[in-house]
Amino acid sequence: MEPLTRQQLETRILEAIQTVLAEGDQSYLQGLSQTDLFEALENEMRFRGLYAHSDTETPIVIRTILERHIAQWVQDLASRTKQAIPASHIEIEASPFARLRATASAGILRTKVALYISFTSPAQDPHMQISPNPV
Amino acid sequence: MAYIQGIHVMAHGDRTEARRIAEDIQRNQRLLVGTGAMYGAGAYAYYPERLLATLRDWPQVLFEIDENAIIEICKRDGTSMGFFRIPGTIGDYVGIHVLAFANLD
Repeated sequence: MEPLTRQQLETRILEAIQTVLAEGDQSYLQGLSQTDLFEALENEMRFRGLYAHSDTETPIVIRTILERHIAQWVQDLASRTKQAIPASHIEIEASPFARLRATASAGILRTKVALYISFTSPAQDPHMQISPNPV
Repeated sequence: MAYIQGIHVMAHGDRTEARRIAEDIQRNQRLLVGTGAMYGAGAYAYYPERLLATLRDWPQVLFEIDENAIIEICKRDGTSMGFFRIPGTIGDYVGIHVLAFANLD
């Protein structure tokens, strides 16, 4: 097999990295710092057998590509989440007496204000009295 | 309990380092959970039939492990990527049963 040209090699590496970034666990990847993502991608290229053990050129090309693009990839990963899961407002009827307004952006319900509501039923709470006709 | 086999490529191809690591793996029947993974913390290994051709000459350990102790790495469409993760904490070890080493010399 003929050796790859530098450009072919770079293209192959970039394709592999894009695949990894697309298929990887997005929430996990977004939690990585730029340094950790760099290391993870470099390890991944080795793990994927992108070059033979005797190949000394490819690791250098990989490092050069990572250094050139890592900041952009970190930014892309961050924006990808926002696009994938748009923020939405949800209103929950928690009880006839309370209403929670929450913003969901990653599947976890987050209230803007911490509201503490007792769900203890009147029968269990002798101190709670509810009158339909408050005085 | 069913067992499956895996191939863990050692020391990124560095045979000198791999020989040192192999002693620990053999003695303690374990793999170290390293840093810098794309699919979560754990020790990674290929299914033997899916090992890439470019990795065949790299130092490696063949082992077996309870199939319930692994997480197969798949694409978003569910297609297997040919390798799996033995979940663990970075810096800790995960247990395996060593079958053989290759390409250490």
